[in-house]
Amino acid sequence: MMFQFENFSDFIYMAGHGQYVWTAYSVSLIIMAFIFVMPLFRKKNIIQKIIKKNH
Amino acid sequence: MASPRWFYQISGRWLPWLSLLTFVSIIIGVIWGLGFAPQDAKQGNSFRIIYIHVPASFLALVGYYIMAISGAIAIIWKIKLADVVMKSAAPIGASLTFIALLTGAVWGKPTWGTYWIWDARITSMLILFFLYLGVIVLQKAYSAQGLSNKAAALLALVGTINIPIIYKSVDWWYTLHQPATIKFTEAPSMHPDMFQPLLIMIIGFYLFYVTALIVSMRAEIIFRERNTSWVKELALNLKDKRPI
Amino acid sequence: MNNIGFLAILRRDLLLAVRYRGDLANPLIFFFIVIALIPLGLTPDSKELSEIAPGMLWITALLASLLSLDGLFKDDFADGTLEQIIILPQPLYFMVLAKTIVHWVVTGLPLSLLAPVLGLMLSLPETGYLPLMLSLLIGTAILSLIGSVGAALTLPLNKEGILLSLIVIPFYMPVLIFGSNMVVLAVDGLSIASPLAIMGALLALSLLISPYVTSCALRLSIYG
Repeated sequence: MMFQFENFSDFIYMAGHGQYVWTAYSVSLIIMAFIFVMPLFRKKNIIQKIIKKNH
Repeated sequence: MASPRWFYQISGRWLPWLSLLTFVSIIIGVIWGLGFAPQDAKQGNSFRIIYIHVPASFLALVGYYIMAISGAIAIIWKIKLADVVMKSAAPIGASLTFIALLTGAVWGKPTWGTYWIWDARITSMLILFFLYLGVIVLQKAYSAQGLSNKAAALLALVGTINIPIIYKSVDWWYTLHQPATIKFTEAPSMHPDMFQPLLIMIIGFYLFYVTALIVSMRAEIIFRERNTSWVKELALNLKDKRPI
Repeated sequence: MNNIGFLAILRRDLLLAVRYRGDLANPLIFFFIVIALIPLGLTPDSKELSEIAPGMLWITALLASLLSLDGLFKDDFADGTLEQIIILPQPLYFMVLAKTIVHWVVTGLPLSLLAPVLGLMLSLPETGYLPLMLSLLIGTAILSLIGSVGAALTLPLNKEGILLSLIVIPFYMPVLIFGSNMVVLAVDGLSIASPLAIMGALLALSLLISPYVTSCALRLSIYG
């Protein structure tokens, strides 16, 4: 197993397919991060409301 | 056992480890897939999108069954926790279906020269996305009126009967209209160097699904039990600490 | 089989449909008007129209049937009749089936009978008329059965309309595929046996499952 590209700009360019590959990966990972983080914020909000109500 | 409170407490202990495992496996899979897997002889580097596309499509379908089965458990045995699973699974599944469609479209551009074609698998995936949207919309409409979640669970359950019919009918439709210009060359067996990162990514996506489901369920549990004493206690204990 | 409930509902709903005849024509008028849009929006050329006619007729009939679903249980739910029906000591399955059959008789059946006339207007070749009617007769029955599930699920919500369509349309897709395919095959002079067999199987399956699921959904809607 070895790194498939000569250098970093080659890695970004990917012989012309870079734009597609990087778009697919970045958008997907952003959506996944979003799915993961949203409930954390939701929970934080609910807990803060409970704290406020009980004061 | 199996009460929302019990689940909240036990999942709190697992969650950091699960998150770490998910993060590590997806990072390894992404780096391997992007940089170290050999490029495809025909498709070149655009082939690397497979490492997102296939696991996402896979879990989109598995996720529908997880949602429907937990919905069935919630209806039949009236288990609260199953209802929470059903509610939380729908948006995650829909997002994964969206990712599968999106990566498929982006992959299609360099491969077939167009972002969208009405191919059998793409169309089936699109219909699966519609099924998810129906469940989510019904959930939202019911919870906006303070009603229970069971109608959406029933809808999801009916969907499971329909998914095989939809897939078969779309196959039928596609073989009748198959355009001659576009041919799918599906490799019968993948080279191990290409398959190993795919396996890592599939495991990573499974872990992601479970972790995201747990995180979403915990928020939903806190929301549903917001008036109980244990949640109030929890909130007040967390007041001085960081509330996560 | 003790089918007093089935017959009573069948009789009552048919009678209601006859009393409010005005509503009967609405899906037909809708079907007619939308078909008239197609040459305006696409082309008046009869050759091109004849190519898209099977699909267009099927899609429009599907939408007409879909739009009439809204009232399937609504009035009975609003005035409390539905609750009375549910607590009757009769199998709910058959009473729901009766309501669905009446829905098909007042929407699907007239749509199927009208379809050849509209086929003529879209230059559908004559060989397609009978298969079109046949596919719509079976197809709209399946659509009514599937649609009753959606109508029951959205019953307690105040804003069904578009929500109902969103839920039901994905389930309609296989019926559309086989239904319009049957007409296309007939126009091309091929055998329609296989889509016909599949539509029959879908009808049998939905006859078996749909009234049961609709009953469950109605109980959920009323008792939560």
